[in-house]
Amino acid sequence: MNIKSIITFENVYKVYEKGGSKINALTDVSFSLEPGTLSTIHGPSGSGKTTLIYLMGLLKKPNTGEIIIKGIKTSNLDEKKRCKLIRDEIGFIFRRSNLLPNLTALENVMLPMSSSDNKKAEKLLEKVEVSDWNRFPINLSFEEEQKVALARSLVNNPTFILADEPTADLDSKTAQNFMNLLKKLDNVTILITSDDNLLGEFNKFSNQNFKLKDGVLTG
Amino acid sequence: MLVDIMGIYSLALKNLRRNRLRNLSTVLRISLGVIILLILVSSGLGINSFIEKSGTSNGKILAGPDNQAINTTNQTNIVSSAVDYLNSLFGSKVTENQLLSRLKDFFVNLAYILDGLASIALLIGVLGVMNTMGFNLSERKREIGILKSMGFTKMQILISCTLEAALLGLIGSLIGVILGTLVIWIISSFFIPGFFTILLPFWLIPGSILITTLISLILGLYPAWFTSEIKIEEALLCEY
Repeated sequence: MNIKSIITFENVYKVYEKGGSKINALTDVSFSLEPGTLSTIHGPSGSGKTTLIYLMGLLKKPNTGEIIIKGIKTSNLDEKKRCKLIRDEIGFIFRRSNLLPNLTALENVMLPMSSSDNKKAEKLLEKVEVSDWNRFPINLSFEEEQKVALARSLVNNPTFILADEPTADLDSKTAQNFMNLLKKLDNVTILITSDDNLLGEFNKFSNQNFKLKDGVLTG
Repeated sequence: MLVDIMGIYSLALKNLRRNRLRNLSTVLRISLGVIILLILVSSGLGINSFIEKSGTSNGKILAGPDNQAINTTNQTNIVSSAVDYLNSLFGSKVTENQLLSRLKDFFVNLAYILDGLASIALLIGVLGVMNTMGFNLSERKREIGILKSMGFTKMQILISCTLEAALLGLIGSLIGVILGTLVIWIISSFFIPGFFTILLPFWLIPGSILITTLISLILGLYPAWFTSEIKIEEALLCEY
């Protein structure tokens, strides 16, 4: 294990079973992410990108192997500690429908906060260039929705952000704007998964690029 | 812990803004249950009070529920006339005491029946909470996944969903208590003045609110537990 790394995957396997058949979603995945880097994982649909993101975000457990976050082995954490680790250290951005529809943009950002500090949430929304934050998600564009999701993921000062195909529903120009925003973030480690089609776009921004095919990661 | 769940605590209140028609119909059903509960329980209490106050002694009614309003002599005459009429009609030999005793038994049983009906009416009204919460939460699976991805625990999600059910009960019972009190006041003022009073004791108002909210909370527990247990990958795969 690299002592500097924020996240380390050690020989991680994830197998899904359905109807008696087994699918190897991830096979012997080992890698680590350095602090403050922007890394990408490319792979076609069904390659295991989302599974990897969920494992890294502690939303799932691996069958075998260990995921170490800031030196903490996560395989045997109880629910309370796991949730605290997610809340304090991890920010998530999904491909779509990231926001709770009955909350305004500002309320969505404030939801995971443990204090009701409006100003912090407002500052983050300004930082991600979203104005009029009392709008509900239905009145936001796709780009604005993703930006609000980014602001929310940053609200608890996470160590790293996991973005699962965050620009998949955006056109190339707005996708580039979104990536520029991610690049501007300081002191946050970012991991983005993407479809192969966007490979060229993402390589411009990232420090590390991984490829994932049939559950096997190559650097 | 409380500060920790403030965000999700207020979410329960904000979620009531959604599915307004469904939530409104549930609230109205609960209100109707509470109105019926108040009327029936109050009537039962009024009957009990009437029986207690109008006990017999030497064939004479001692007092009505309202000592100033009821004339004892007039009542004795009414009872005597009723006994005479019944005896002539059926050829029986019932005394005034026997008739009053049977009437008393009848009213005591009636009070119990009214209490039972009141409980059933309330339960039927509040049962809608379980149904409504089941529908509401089944439409929010993806959101539950998002909440879990933010680090909310199963328990926090359970509390939030259960609070939502309790709030439905609370709002329904508040409306029911206000309308029920109004209906009781109208009935006792205009329809049966001076006969026997419908009693609405103070404890019945907070009692109805508390019981209704508590039952709603308990009924909301199952859909809330079911929702909090949903696997995150399933939840995030949902379209809604």
